[in-house]
Formats: sequence, C-alpha cells, structure tokens
Amino acid sequence: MRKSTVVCALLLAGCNRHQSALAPFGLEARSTLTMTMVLVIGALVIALGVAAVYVLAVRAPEGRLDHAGGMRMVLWLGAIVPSVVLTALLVWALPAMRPLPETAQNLRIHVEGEQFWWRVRYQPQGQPPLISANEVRIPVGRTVVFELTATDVIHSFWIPGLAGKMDMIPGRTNRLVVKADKAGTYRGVCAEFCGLSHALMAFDVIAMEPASFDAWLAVSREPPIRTQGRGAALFAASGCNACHSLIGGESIGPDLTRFGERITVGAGILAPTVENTAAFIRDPHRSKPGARMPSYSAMPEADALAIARWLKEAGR
Amino acid sequence: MSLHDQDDPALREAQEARLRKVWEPPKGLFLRWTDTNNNQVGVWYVLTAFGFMLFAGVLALIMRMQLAVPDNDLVDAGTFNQLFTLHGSVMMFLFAVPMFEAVSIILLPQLLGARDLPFPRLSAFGYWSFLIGGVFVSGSIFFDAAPDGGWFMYPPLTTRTDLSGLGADIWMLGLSFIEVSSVAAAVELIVGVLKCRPPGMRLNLMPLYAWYILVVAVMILFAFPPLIAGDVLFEMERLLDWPFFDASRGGDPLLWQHLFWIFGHPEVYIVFLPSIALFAMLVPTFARRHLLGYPWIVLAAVGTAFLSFGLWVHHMFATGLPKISLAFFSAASEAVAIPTAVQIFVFIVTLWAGRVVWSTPLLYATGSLAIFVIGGLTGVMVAVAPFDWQAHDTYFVVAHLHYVLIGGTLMPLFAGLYYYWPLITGKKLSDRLGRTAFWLIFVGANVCFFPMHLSGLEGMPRRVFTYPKELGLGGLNLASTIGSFVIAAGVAVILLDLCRSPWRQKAPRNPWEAGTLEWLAHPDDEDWGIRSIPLIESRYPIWDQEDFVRKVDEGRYFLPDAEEGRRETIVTSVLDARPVSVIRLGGPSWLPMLTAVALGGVFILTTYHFYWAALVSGVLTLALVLAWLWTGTAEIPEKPCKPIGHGIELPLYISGDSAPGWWAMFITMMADATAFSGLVFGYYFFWTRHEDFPPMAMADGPGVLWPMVALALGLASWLATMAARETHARGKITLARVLVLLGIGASLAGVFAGLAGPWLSGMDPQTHSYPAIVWTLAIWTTAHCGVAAIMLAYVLARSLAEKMTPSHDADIRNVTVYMHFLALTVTVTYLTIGLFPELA
Repeated sequence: MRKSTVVCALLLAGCNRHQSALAPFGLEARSTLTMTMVLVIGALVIALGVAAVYVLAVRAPEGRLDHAGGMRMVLWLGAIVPSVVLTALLVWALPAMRPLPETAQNLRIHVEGEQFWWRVRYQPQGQPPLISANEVRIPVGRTVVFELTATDVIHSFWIPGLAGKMDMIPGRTNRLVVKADKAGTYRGVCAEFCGLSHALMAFDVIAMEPASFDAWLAVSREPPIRTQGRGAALFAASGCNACHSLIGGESIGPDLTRFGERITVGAGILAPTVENTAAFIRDPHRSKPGARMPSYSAMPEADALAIARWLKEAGR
Repeated sequence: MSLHDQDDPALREAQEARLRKVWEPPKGLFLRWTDTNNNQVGVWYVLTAFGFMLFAGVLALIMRMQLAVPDNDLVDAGTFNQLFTLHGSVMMFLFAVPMFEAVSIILLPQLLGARDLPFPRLSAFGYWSFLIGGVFVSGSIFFDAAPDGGWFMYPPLTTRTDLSGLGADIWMLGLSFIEVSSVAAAVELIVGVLKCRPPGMRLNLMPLYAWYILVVAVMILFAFPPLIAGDVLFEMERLLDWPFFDASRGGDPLLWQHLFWIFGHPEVYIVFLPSIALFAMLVPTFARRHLLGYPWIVLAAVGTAFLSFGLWVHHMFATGLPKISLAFFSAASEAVAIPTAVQIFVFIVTLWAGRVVWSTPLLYATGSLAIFVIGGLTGVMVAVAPFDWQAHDTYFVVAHLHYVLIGGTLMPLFAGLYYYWPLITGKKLSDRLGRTAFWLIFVGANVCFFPMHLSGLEGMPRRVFTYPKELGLGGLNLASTIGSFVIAAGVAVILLDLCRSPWRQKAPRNPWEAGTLEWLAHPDDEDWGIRSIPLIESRYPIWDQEDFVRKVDEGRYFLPDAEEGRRETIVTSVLDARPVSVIRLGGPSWLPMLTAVALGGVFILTTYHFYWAALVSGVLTLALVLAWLWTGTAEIPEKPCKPIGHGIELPLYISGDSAPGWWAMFITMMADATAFSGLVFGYYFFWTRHEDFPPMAMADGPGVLWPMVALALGLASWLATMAARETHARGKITLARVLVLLGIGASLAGVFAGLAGPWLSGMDPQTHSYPAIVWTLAIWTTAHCGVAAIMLAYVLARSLAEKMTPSHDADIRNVTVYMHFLALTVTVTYLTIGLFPELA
C-alpha cells in the first residue's frame, strides 16, 4: 500500500494547473478525477496481487498444487473474481456516462474547429449571438452547453480541467454539457490529430464569476471604439478585412473584434505581445505551419507593428 | 513396406538420400530466391519483419528526441507527422502481423509433424508481396512522401487531396497490398492447421500454438476484409472524388472509423494472441509438466477472439455516440479482460504445479507478463467511458497501448527468440547477454512509458510534435526519452547476441528438453522437415510416447520415403486427423515472386495514377496466376494411390471438401464475403444517417429492371455451374462443357446488366454518397461476375486439355465454391440496390 500512496501523491503533484485532468475546475472533470483515483488504486492492488501470486507460483515446490486445485484457482482468480469486479465497476460507472441535466435556458456556446483555430459563437437565451475566436469564457456555477462541430477535418474539443473531450466532426453537431466550479484562466486543446499544426491548436478558457460574465457579455455586444490611424488604414489596404471581422460578424478567419482582450495570439500558442502579433502577420507559418492565412512577408515590419498595435487597442 | 524394412540401415540411408534430393533448396545467386520451402521462406519472412521493427524503432527514437524538451525544433511538424504515422503503421502492418505469420510459417509444420504447409508457393507469394509492399510504404519517408495522417488515417483530413498528398495513397494502396498477403497467409495457416496434422492428432491433442494460430488466422479472415472495404471506399474518394466521407455531399467521416476499428480492435488481439501462444509452448517446458487447463485456454482464446469483434466502438467513445452504445461497448470492453485473466492464470498455476526451471526465455515471459498486466489494467480503465473521455487521444493511451504491445507482443517474441533460436539455428543464444538485454528492455520500457500515464492526464494530447514549456511536462517527457534509449540499448544487445551466434557451438538436440513435436528438429537440420510423420497419441509426444524420437528418426512412422521424387505431405481429416491422402507440394518456382511483383505493380502504379500501366500489370498478374494454377494445381497423378507405411495406402488426388484446395477456396471466399459485407454496411449506414435515403432527387436509384436481370443472370451462372459439376461427375462431359459455356455467357451478361442499372439511370457518383455506394456495390459484384467467367473458362480449358476428368474434378468443385459465394453476392447486391429504394 505504501507504493500506492506514493503514486497517488505523484498524481496529485502535477505542476501544471491550466491544462490538466488532475487539476479540475468543473463538475465533470472533478467526478472523473475521483473515478481515476479509484481505478488507479484498484489497478495497483490487482497488479501487486497478481505479482504476489506469480512469485508464490514460481517458488512453490513441484506438486504443491494438484490438478483440481489448479483448476479451482483458474476458475476463481481467472474467471469469477474478475467477473464480479468488472460487473461492479460497470454498474458503478454507468451513471457517470449520463450527461449533466440541462434546460433550454442554459447558455449555448457553438464552437467550430478549423485548421488550426476555433470559431466561437455565444448563444445566450433570448439575446443575439456574440461571435469570438480562440477563447471561451464561461460563467462559474451555471450549466453551459457546448455545441461542437467542424468545417474541414475532425478536431476534438478538450478542456482537461473542465470535462472529458468531445470530437468535432464535419456534418455532425456533438454536445458537451459542463459546469465550472472554480473561476480562473485555463487552457483547452485539440485532441484529435487534425493536420500539420495539430500540436499548435489550443485556446484559452476563462471561467468567470456569473456577475462579471454577464457584464462582459453585455459590454462585448458593443463594437469597440477604434482610432482611425495608420493601423486601420494598413489593415484595410492589406486586405486583412477580407478574412477577419472587426465588428463581430461572420468571417473566413478568426474574428478579431476584441483582439486586445485575448491572453494569447494564434490560438493559444503565443504571448499576446505586439511583436508576436506583427511577426505572425508577416509569417504565420513560422509559428503555425499549414495555417490558412497567407504570409505578408513583403509587408515592412513597421507596418505590421502598426497593425498589431492598432488591433490590440481595441477591446481593452 | 513393413516395420521390419526400416531395420535395414541401407534402406534408411537410401530413403534419406531421396528425401534430401527432393527437398534440396535451389542453389545459385538468383535461383535460391525461388525456393518455397517453409524453412527458407519463414526465415526470410522473420528477418524482414525484424528489420521493419528496427526501422520503426528508430523512427520512435527520433520522435522521442524531438519531444525530450519542450518547444524543440529537431524535426519539423511535417516530418514528425510522417514519423508517428509510419511508426504505428510499420509496427502494426509490417512487424506485428507479418512476424506472427513468419514465425508460424517456420514453426507450424514442425509442430504438426508436416513436411511443409499445404501451399508453400502461397507462402512465398505472401512473403514477396510483404517485402515489396513494406519497402514501398516505409521507403516513402526518405522522399519526404510518407503518409502523415496517423496510422488510423481518419478522413476527411486524409481523403481531401488539398490537405494530404501522395502519402495517403501510399498508405492505402501499399498496405492494402500487404493486407492481401496477410489474408493469403491466414488461408495457408488455417488449412495447415485443419488439414495437415499428423495422423492421430485430434483437435484436442493439437499443440496450443496451433490452436492460437487457428484462432488468430480466423480473426485475420474477418478483421482485415472490412479494412479492405474501407480502403476501396477511401481510394474511390481520393482518386475519383466519390464522396463517401464528405459530409457536404451525403458522406460521413464516421463510416471510415467504424470500418477501420472493426479491423483495428481485433488487430490488437491478432498481434497479442500469437505471443500468448509462445507462452503456451514454453511455460510447460520450463514447468516440466503438461499445461494445466488445456480446454480452459482454448476456450479463452476463442472467447477473446469472439469478444474482440464486439468492442471496436471503444475507440470512438468521444465521437458523440448514443449513451446506450457507450454502455454496451464499455461492458464488452471490460468483459474481454476475463478470458485474458483466465489465460494468465493458466500459466501461473502451471508454474505453480510444476518444477520451475529458470531460464532466459522464462525470464522474458515473466517480465512481459508483468508489463502486460499493467497494460491490461489501464485497458480496463479506458474501457470505462467517462475515464476514457479524459484519457482518449492523450499520452495515457500511448502508455496503455505500449504496455500492452511490449508486454503482449514484443517481449514474448523475444522470449520466443531465445526459446526457438536453437530450433532454427542449432545454437543457443547467450544467457548472459539475454539477461542484460532483458533488464535493459524491462527497465527502459517502464521508464519510458510509465510517465506517459501522467503526462497524458496532465493534458498532453497524442500526435503533437511539440508542447509548450508552460505546461510543465518537460520532466516527464525527458524521462520517457531516456527510457526509450534504454530500450534501444537492450535491443542492440540482442542484436549483438544474434550476430555472435554463428561462432558459437552447436547446442544438443532439444536443449530445453521440451515435449512437443517441433523439438524433433535436429541441430544439423535437413530441409525435409521431419524424417517420418508420426502417429500422435499425446499432447507432449516426446515426453509421453515410448521411443518416440528414435522411431521418427528411423522412419518407422508414415511417409518415410520419396520414391517418386516429389515433395509430399499427408492430409488428414479436420476433426480426428485420420489420414485422407498424400498431396504433392509445389517446389521451387519463379511464379510466386513474379506474381507478387506484378500484383505489387497494380497497387504501386495506381498510387502514381499510371492507370494504363496498372492495367497492364493487372493483366500480367492474371496471366501469372492462371499459369501458376495450370501448372501447379489439381495435377492428375501417375498412379491413384501410394503406400505410406504400416500397410496404409492413400490416394494421391482428392477433390471436394476433404481437399486442401477446396478449403482454401472456401476460406478465401469467407474473407471476400466479409469485405463485401463491409460495403453493404456502408450502404445501410448511410441510410441510417439520412432522413431521405435515397435522396428525393434520385429516389428511383438504378431502377428495378436491370438489377433484377443482373440477379437472374448471376443466379443462372451459379445454377449452370452446379449442374455442370453434377453432370460432369456422372461422366457426361460434353453436356457439362455446354453448361459451363452457358455459365460463362450468363456471368458475362451479368457484368453488363449489373452496370446497366446505375449507368442508364444516369447516376453520377460524384454528386452524393448514394449513387457512389450504389456504383461501388455494382462494380464489386460485376467484377466478381467477370472473375466467375474467367474461372469457368479455365475449367472449360482444363476439361478440353483433359487435365480435368470425372474422377479428377477438383477444378470444377473449387469453382463451384466460388459460385456459391457469387450467388450470395449478387442476391444481396441487387436486392439492396434494386428493391431497397422501393421500401425505404
């Protein structure tokens, strides 16, 4: 048993608190973690038990076990005990397969996976939708229903601290019902291999107190006030607005309306600095191979910096 | 010939000289590769599969170097994706499955006291196909063209030609080619186990290895064809833009996942059970007693095989399936642990009851059992759906599957290597190096893979070429990388041991003092396999049967001679192993290799869109197959019977359901029917997916008339063939020939009628999954009608050439088996495409 406590301690001592099934901030992940602990302890007990039986078997002198005794042991240890344990496990685990209860009033968030970013649409009951990208905000203590799909290839939506993963499949819409119970900033990732930059397809998850979430939702509906300087002119002149919306409308690429609020750039992979943003504009494939955005390598660095600065102004 | 004759040493020497001459391998730089003897082909096969294992291992080391530290840039994303795709594909398709087949090709005849397997040329064909396909697939990485969609190749990522390049075609066509050779080997092994056992070896006296081979080969027969069906749909989409997996045109990416995992999960047991089979051979040897619970282990193996086909959906728990299927597949996935536990405890109680002799093979067996048990327990964990939603597609699963495969495939193979090396080479490997290697591999595997459980739960998804430093996964990954190199060091020590083997002394015969037939092999092995084919009365004849080895060696059992200068072995009945006949085996020939080259050409040229060249290669393949059949099968012997000793005379020609050829045809057609059912599954899967299927715009489908005409023609050719078989057997040869001619006509007309439905209705397969799947079913079925016409023409030619007579009618009997399955295929296809739209 000492070994198992050591392993449990190891399990709990994960140093990563942002993207770990061992550091839950939601009901689903929390109950799964409890289940994990039970399974791990059970597995350890069984593994050590089999090892002990094996050592006894090898050491026993010839003829200690006769044919009938051997057959009894196979029957009990090989068939009956595993059947009982597994049946118990199944019965115990079945209720956990049921999703959390939901009502029509619950906040719906539609997320679409695309190579290699996330299109997010908040659909609060009785209000117009709010479009965003690469960031998911949820209120703590309220049930939230994610509606998940994909446009190009299969992705998988995984916020380890919140709940298990759910695939995003073109032509299908899957639902994932969650309830966060601890405010904070977390990270989600794509868990289904989706192409060249699968490893670089992440997003930020911000669990907010309900009141601040409501306030954020209300503020976010208003288009941010922007200056009409050099950045704005360059953004338009370079054709950025062909793919990126700045007013929360549908767009080909990620929505950039409240870009300044984001805590990462490039779908969860870069720190939100002006320099990173400018570098991404000039050569997106350096930090994200296979991204759909074309390179603007001909754009002078100063221009890219100007656009980046201007984008970051908005939404603060 | 009586027992008395064998007392004469001069006679024995003369017999041995004849046997030696008959079984002598061809010599010369080129000619030696035409050999078909299982001893030669099996060794090439093992070495090739081992080579692919080392290659895939090196790929893994490069991956581990890239992941050793966060944000590393040793290899780029594109290369990394090729690395992990090839690592998985090569280990599964070019190492684990072929290695099982290779080992079985070497061991099975020895275990069954047969001179060779029933179709040695088929084994050789399988080997050359494997070599060509394997080099084609794995060589692609040197041209930066390797498949990069994961070994599971999920569409649409892999079917969209704008998102994936040539690599996807290389995977699909190259591995389809290898799947064909795997099925060929499965046919060979099943017929070998069922028909080539020594007299007296009833099913319940069969060595457990043979039982496992039977179970696993049957699994291959039912598991690979759905993947082949999937491959067909996949390439239709890639090459012809038929939208089976494109949701915007009525397809569904999940169809591929179902077909892939109906193959993919049994595959896990296909690579695991043969290793358990090695345990079942070596545990009794080192426990110095019979295995306890023989019926238990046979039932457990059969039960595992059965259950393994009912749990593929646990690879799809996160695809948003209905809860009821989650519960069912969760239960089935947990249940498979029960037969596995039975098998493990059978070994443990055998050791308990016996006197354990410690040895290097047993050390490997022990270590692999320890690792496997951990992998099995994490397997039960991921069978629990809610836990799987967290663990799925993370490093936890990477840890789980490597514990299972290292404990359940790799290390048992090393146990088998140390155990059987003296059997193959006559020399023992070094115990010291073996133990060193064992500890390196055992410790390395745990250091490498144990931390992955944690990195997975801490949020590290699979198939990532890098991970950010902020996640704090650097330490765990570094440990894994160190562990992987320790494993590699262990494998290097084994290689060193193997390389030093030629300079070691010969080991005594049967160095482990085992009790099973294969240990009759002599250190100075002769190519004839076994001196005389024994009468079996026990599961451990060397231990239990008096004077057994001497009697075999002195040719006192059956078939001790090769008077007519032909390679021969005894065929027995399926259940109780009564001798039925003596069959002549194919000797060295260029045909297997040339056929493999030609068939490989079909797949490889199609990959590069050289369709005309591929067609030429296909015609060449057909010509070679016909030449092979014409010269090498259903040969009318120079005399009806021959004595095999002890006053027993056996016929030299048999046809119908006691002949190996009939069984081979039947088994092949089971695989064919399974692939076909995969396509039919596709049709009904689309129906369940759509509110309106067929879609309103094409509600009439191919119409009713032409499918019904095609059905009538298909059934007519089937009836004509059966009538021809019966009249032919009654000696009315002319009438039989006319009936065969009618059958050819009906089959050919069936080709046109089958295609006329979708063609005349103007169904465009690029518009929607419905016309695409209808066309696919029609093409599959009419292709089978075309093959039927060719087969019947072959039968007619054999009859005209007087190579087929009423008393020697294997050709038409075997073709009739094909026609039974054709009748099934036309019935299902044309009722589905013709009448189902009327109902739906």
